[in-house]
Amino acid sequence: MPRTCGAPTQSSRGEALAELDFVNMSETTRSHLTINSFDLANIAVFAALTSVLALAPAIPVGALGVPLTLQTLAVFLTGMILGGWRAFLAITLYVVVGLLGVPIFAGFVGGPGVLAGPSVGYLLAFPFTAALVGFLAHRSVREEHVRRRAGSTSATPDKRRGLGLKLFLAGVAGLVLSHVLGIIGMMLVGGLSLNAAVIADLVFIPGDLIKAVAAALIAVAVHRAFPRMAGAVL
Amino acid sequence: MRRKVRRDDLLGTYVPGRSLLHRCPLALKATLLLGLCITVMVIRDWQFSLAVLSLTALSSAVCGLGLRRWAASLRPLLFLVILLGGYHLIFNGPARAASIVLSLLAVVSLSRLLISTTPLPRLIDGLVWLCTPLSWCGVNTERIGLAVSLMIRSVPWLFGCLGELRDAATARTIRANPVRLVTPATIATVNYAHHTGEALAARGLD
Amino acid sequence: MAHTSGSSSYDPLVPDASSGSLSCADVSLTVDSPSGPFTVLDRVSCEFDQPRTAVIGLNGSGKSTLLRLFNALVVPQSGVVRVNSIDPVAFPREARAAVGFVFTDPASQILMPTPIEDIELSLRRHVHDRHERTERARDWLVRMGLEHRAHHSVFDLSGGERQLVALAAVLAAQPQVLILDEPTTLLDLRNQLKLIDMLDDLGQQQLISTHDLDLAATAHHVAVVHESRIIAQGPPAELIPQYKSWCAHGFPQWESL
Repeated sequence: MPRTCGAPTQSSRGEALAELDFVNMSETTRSHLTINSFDLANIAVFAALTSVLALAPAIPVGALGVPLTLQTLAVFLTGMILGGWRAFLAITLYVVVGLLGVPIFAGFVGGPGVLAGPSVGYLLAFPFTAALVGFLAHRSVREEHVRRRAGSTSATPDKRRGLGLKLFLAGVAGLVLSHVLGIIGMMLVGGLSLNAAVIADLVFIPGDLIKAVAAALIAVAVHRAFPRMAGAVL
Repeated sequence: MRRKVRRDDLLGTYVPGRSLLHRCPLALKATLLLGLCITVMVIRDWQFSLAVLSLTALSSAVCGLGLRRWAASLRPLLFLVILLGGYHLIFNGPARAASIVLSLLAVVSLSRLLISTTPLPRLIDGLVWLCTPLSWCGVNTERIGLAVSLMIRSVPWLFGCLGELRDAATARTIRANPVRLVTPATIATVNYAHHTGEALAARGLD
Repeated sequence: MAHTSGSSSYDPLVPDASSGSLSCADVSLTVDSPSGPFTVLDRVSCEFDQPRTAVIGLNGSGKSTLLRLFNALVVPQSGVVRVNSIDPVAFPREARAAVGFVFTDPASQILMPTPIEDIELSLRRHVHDRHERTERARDWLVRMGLEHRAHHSVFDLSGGERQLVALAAVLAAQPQVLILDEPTTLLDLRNQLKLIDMLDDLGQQQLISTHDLDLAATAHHVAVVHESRIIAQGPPAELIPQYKSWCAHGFPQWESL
């Protein structure tokens, strides 16, 4: 079986930029109702990535080897890379396909039955989480591009760390939203009391914070490799 | 312990067959099964949910899916059932615990019946039909079907990509640090999405 | 040769003096990069009307971008492009219907989960009956020798099989011209030969960019792209040895050509 992935097969940076030039117009000039083929592809592929990361075995992290599932990582990542509305559509697609019955939710679950479960709040919050994270993240990335262009000729590590921090904060905003809605879901559907729901929720916060950090680090690398993802006018 | 993910578990939820449920038209089947789901959730009575759950087990056996598959589809919920059931048992008593747990199992089982007896392309057509109201708002529902197909088709590739990178990392005896693993996978994913977009455009599907 | 125009009397569907099947005149394309403007194509002119034209050149020379001019995947800042007299910039939909484009990576250009669905997708525009679509898609798979793989997941196919499926899906849309961007680069030798065999049986005009000089030798016309320019064109018997020599001993400076 041939290698399926690896280094991009673009012939050169210049050719890669040329291809993106035509179709990834600046977000400020495009009408939000049009989804071109590249948007469609990004939305579908990231919905697939979310499925794959949600199903990947939990990764042991840190000295204690605490297992972290990657579903929320995927949501943060999709937001930070695709931006507000594309991430919203990508995660909505993920949730809809999962609700259709394909078992792509964490734990190999799927189907409308999930709406009866206690995690329904988090699940339904995901598209909005991704949208919020994406909206904030892309704004930061665009500012970063403009600043780099105007300022230095070489990107100093300090500036990059700045972007990483901003992306992390975007992730935290999304985290807050998803946990608030998750708590509400646990109360309404799982029948938990407010105290019980909050306590159950707190268990997941440290893990989600780590995932926000990881997503920010990954997204910084991705935006460096693909400068046009955020639609910045360079 | 790492659980190996089988690709056909994900996409091959459809089990071919010629049973009554298989041959039943999607619209009727979906209305019936989802209607039952809603009834279970609204009534939330443990006896009713138990009856429905038993019915799904019976249907599974009769339609050629087998009891083992029926049980396997519910196994992922075990942990959740224990947690949730335990909580309600302590705070709200056995009746409430039973109704919450059994209704959850019944609903999951019903939806599993639906997708096990319907091939994926048919399901996608059903989804596109469901989105017809959206088309009145100017949304191209055909593209929704295309998006679902694109997503399904991308999943095996992404599994392969992640698996390869994990193997490569293991070969170089790097511990599977999530960031180090997922970064090249994500870059490859963005690249893959870009190529997919090109192919879509080249085939005039934009 | 006609030049770019923005005037309202310009009619892109009227054949002009430079129309071959695939032609471009004085095309330039520059992109902004974080380290400044980068010229991808520099005043490129060409006229490809032979049954098979091969485009060869180093990685990053601009060959892929040159090919993408013809189905509006890239848009030049200046110059004129024609595909059978159609202007891809003004009429991308028509250009993409006329041009069948096969990409390098076998996996990412198949859009559906199974081969038969992918070919059916191409047939949707011309064939409205679902059963007839399935029949015709099956015929294409038989022609490619892949009928037994019709319902398999695309992931289970080899790279060569995927490229054949991609080719079938492209051909099913009945294009007038075939453009292939390094179609054999990611294939093993046996599959390379199989794909080329299939290409030899087809009637459309072909424009192929490739690193495979044996494949280039089968073309009627060869163009060498180097550093964003076409530095030589001609029959393969002359150009391929010339190209090999350049690769070994260095390419000439543009001014000396």
